[in-house]
Amino acid sequence: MFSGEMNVGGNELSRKGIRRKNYMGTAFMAPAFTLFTCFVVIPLVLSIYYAFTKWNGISKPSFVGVLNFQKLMHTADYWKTFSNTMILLIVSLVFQVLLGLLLAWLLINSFKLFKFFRALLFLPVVVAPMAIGLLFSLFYNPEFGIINPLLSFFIPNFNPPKWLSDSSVVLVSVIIPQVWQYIGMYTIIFAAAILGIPEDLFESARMDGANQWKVFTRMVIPQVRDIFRICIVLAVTGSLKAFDHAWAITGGGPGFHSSYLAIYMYKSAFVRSAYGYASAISVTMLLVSIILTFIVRKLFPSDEGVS
Amino acid sequence: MMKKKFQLGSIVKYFILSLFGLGALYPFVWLFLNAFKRQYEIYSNPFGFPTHWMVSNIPAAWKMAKLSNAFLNSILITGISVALIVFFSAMASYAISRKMVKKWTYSYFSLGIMIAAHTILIPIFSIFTKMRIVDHTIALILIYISSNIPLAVFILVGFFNSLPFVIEEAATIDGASPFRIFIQIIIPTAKSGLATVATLMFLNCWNDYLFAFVIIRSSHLKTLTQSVMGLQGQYASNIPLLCAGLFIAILPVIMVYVLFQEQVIKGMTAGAVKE
Repeated sequence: MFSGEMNVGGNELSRKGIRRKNYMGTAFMAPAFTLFTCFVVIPLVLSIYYAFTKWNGISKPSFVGVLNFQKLMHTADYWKTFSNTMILLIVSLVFQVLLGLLLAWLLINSFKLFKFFRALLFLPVVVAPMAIGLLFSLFYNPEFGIINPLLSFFIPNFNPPKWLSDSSVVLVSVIIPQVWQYIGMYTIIFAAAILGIPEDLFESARMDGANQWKVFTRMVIPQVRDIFRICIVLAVTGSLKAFDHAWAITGGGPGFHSSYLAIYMYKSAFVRSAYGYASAISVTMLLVSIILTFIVRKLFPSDEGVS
Repeated sequence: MMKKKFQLGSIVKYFILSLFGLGALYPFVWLFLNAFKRQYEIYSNPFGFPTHWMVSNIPAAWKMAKLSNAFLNSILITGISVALIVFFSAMASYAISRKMVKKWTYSYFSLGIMIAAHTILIPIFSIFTKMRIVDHTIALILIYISSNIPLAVFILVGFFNSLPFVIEEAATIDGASPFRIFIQIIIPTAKSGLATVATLMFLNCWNDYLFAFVIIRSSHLKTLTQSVMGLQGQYASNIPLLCAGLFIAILPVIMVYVLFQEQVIKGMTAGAVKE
């Protein structure tokens, strides 16, 4: 599978040595390659196949063409969860990526307190999203939660909504903890990128008498372009994967008002046993992620072509 | 680490950072304080210190939520998964980095980074059903290893590329077998890169909920995140006990973070930031 021509690049080996090295390469590759193929690639292909079938999970899947996709297009719940996912993505882009970049700039400029603030901001990132969801479900409680008192402090005559049951605010309730949890990750990624900018660039900007804001917008932002692209891709995959927070807080309800595509997919398959239909949802998730990644790459071309 | 950049020269900068820092920390402080309150004190005094520290909440929650079982399961599953992810990915990455295999294999693994694991949930479930390993620990280990290999390979290839060829060339001349070179020379040299990947993989497996939720049903096999979800139903009426259970469940990962902060931050950002 992996034998044949190869490029030893400066390593002078005898013919026998090369053959042995090829054989070893296959052996080194085998476990990772086999597992990845069997439990990621084949499932992915199966997922696409199931999307074109009607299947209850037990009997044999029967081919129905694009019927599942047609159904999706005409189902309000699908578009509801689709738009919820897109809203999460937009909120993530603004409050995680953009705010993360701004916070990173502040963090870099916090000198002696750099490590202290970095440690604090990153703390929520390491905790299980499920646990964060459960914690926030307590915070929305009208009797002992912290959300209502906090908002009453800033907003006079604040009239607290029913965070977990009012269909018009429930999406906000499940987005807040997810965005809150990962701001620190984007901040730290950007901070590392800014620290990687050569010092003399800052030096010459300082000589030119550029102010903070100019340095940030004209120099820092162009320099962290590549990282910007990576962070947007992270936000896209993060939104399409979103499940745990909403599941812990509202279970996706009421109805599908706080559900994302992943929750709709889960419920369609494992609650309603519509495995073909659910697979079609997965396929659209995959397509959305490929299309968005493609757009991001067009908007932010990279010299290196990684990630 | 610190570079002297421009002075923002204002208190605003520290104010904003403190605000976000406090915002990141306070929810955990709230959880800690309320984990030690009496059942009804949470209503009369939700934000202050407990008037009486109910230390007994901790063992009570531990016992009732069967957390010892969940901890053992999570430790076992995460431990085996991380060890094998790192070992298998290191072997594959080494082969890719030393051009012992064709180039397309690297692109092949890279495909996996883009795929959100959720898109394969249904076929994975049907494959495991056919293999008759649904509701077995082994199924969870298999999917954790397989779904995390791409990211691990991506990071490790970059790492091995930065290791000079010279070290193993000497050993090759001495006639050591490639496998022995890998175990005795490469692994020890690559320790820091492997540790970074292991940290990231530890958090990925330890914090997963969805795969465990779909694959594991028996209560004695449930992982920690599943038990955390279970707390909700169990303690709807006794919030301090719920807080105690949640507090115990997240304490280990926070301790790991506090003790190995640099390592954890490096691990979590390894996919995005190159050294």
